[in-house]
Order: sequence, then structure tokens, then C-alpha cells
Amino acid sequence: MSGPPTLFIRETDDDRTLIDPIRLADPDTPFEGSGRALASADPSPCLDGLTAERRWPWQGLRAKFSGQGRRTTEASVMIAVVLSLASLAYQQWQSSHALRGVIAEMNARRSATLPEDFVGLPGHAPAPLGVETRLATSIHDTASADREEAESRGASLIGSNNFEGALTHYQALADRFPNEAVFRDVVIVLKTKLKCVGPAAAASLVCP
Amino acid sequence: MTVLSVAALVSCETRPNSARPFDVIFAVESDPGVRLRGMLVSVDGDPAGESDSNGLVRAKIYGAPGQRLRIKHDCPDGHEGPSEPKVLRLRRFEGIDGSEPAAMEIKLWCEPTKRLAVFIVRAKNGPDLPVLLDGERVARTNGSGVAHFSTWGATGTDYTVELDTREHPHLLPRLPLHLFTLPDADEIFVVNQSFEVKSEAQRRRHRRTRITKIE
Repeated sequence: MSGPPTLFIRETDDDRTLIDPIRLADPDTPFEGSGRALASADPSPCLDGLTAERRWPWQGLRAKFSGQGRRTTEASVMIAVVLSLASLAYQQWQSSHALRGVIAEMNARRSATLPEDFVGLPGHAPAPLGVETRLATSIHDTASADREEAESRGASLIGSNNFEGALTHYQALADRFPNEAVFRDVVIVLKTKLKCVGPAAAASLVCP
Repeated sequence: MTVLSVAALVSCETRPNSARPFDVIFAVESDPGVRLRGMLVSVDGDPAGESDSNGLVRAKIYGAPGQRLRIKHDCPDGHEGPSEPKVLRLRRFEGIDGSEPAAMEIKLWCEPTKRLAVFIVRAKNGPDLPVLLDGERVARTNGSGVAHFSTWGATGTDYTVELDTREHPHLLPRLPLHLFTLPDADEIFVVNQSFEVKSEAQRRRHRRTRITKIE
């Protein structure tokens, strides 16, 4: 049984790595003096004796890659490094370009809201074409952001069982968004929970 | 003089000598502390009055101690009264210092047939997600992952609230489900759901198998 161990390639393995079933079955690496021989596919006479000179793996590689081959390897490595640096620089340029676009849009919005400050003044110049649309969009964005924040705040108050605070908050939301029935429903339930309905409501300190 | 005498005789006939006045306050409620106004209350078929803005009917009932009276009352739409009329037995009480006893308060219930269920979704890392109530899309989380919606249902109704992550495959867990049961009261249900954002690198790492290389 001195033949080389059978190697097979797992079909599901993307890397096509060679698997040694014997090593897989017995993961303990044998060591010198353990009574188990170190596996060697190509036993060399210079490794037999105690006086054998130990050779490191890279020494062999260095010998192999000499002259033209070595230069080719170095050039390949250099090209790979340059390419990766170029790719990184391109990604940075892309992100900075996107950031510049966002800043430009913000500046445009800010300049679009400026005419509103002077609407009440006599003799103000008419707003340029397209500004109204941008202004409406900007107001809508602000309103939706405010609403989002208000909803989150209300949810946090209820999540922390602060029903008194939540009642005041949702009453304000219901007044602000009268078409949203759900805010009125929240107020109804909170009032029932806090007994803010009927004659007891007037005497209660928690009822607004 | 004759007319007055006749009137006195008639009144004596309708109220027997043993009949005494009893002060009674009826309180019509849907839930504890939630009073209903404009509900008619009748005692032995005779109207005693309509509930005021505080849901109260103040009445003076004439009867003999020990007498049983049948109390009936109306209920508004969406509410249900008891199937059997309430029976009131008259008893005479006297104050300790001999003063007149306070009026008896009797509660009359009109239970709501449907209850209000409000749902508040708080989805961490879950903005812009459709929210399904019993499989039907009812809301969508905002940019902060918050959504509000409400529904009406009978007491004991089971609800399933599902956050649809099919448009966001990088979110874990996928399609989380929450179960709620509506109690015998209006209720607010808070759906707290935290999502883990699975990155592309993480997905690739999970696919890899552990291998042993031959040196």
C-alpha cells in the first residue's frame, strides 16, 4: 500500500479543490515519533537520514522562477495592483459625483423656497416658471417628513405605555389630518383606556 | 271641591296605601365608565325617562317593599342589551342618623357588538413594507418603518398581521407573522418587528462549505 492516496474532486465545490478523504476521515495530523509515518508521495533520498538538509518551499519556487519568468510574475503583480487601484479610484469618483448631484439639488430647493419669504411684500417680482412646482414638492417633502416623525413619536409613546402623552399627541395628529380615520380611532381607544369619556373625564387630571 | 276629592280618590286607587317612593338612578353604560345618552328606561312597562348627557335617568318609583319590578332599556345601534329584563326588588333603607337614604344607582348595560382594534406597526430596519391584515394589504410602513391601521371586529376575533418582505429579499426574517385576539374591549395592538439586513457578502459567505485542502 505504498501507492499515492486516491484523490477526488467534489462536483458541488465551486473551487474544484482537491479533497483527501483519508485526511478528512482522520483530521489529526501525524507527527514524527507518533508511530505513524508522515505521508509523502515522492520520497527523496536526501530526506531519509537525520543529516538531510531541510529545504524550504519558497527556495524551490525561487529556483523555478528565475530570469524571464520572474520578471513576468512581477509585471503581472504590478498590473493587478494598478488595476485594483484604478477600480477603487473610479468607485470614489462615482460616489463623489452622486454627492455633488445631491448638493446641487439641495441648493436648487433652497433657492426655490426663497420667493415664498417675499410673497407678502408689496411689489414682489413674480416667481420664475417652474419654481412653484419645485416649491410644492419641497413643501410636500417637508410635510411628509413631519408626518413620518409625528407617527414615529406616537408609536413610541404607545410602545412605552405612555398613554397620557400619546392621547395628547394623537389628538393633535387627528386635528392635523382629519381625513385619517385611524388617528381618531387611536384617540377613541386611548380615551376609553384612560376613562376620558363621560362625567369622569372632567374630574380626571390625565384627560386633556 | 268635588273635583279635587275625585282626583284624590283616583290617585289613591293607582297608588296603594302601602306604596312608598323609592329614589332610583339608572346609569346606561356600554363599558365601565362609558355612559350612553338618549336611552329610554321603563319600569314594569311604564317609561321612567331618557338618559341625559351623563347617561343617567333619575326616577321616583312607587311600590311596596319587597315588590319586584321589571326594568327594560333601549340600546343604540351596534350595541346589545341583555336578553332578559332586569328585575329590581324594592327594599327600604334608612340612614344611620334617621335621614333619608341616598338614591339607589342601578347600572344597565348595552354591550357593543363590535370592538375597535387599532394596530401600530413598528418595524426596525423595515421601511416601505406592505402590511397584510388576515392576508389583505391594508397599509404600508413609512420611511421609519411605522404604520397605523384599524378595524372593527367581534370580541374574540383572531387577527394575523404580516409584514411582506417579498419586495426586499435582503431582510430577515422573511414574512414575519403576528397573531392577536380582540378582547371584550377596544384595544391597541403594537407590532414590534426587528429586521436584520443581510448583505451580499454575508449571503456569499453562508453558501461556502467547509473544505480541507491538501498541502
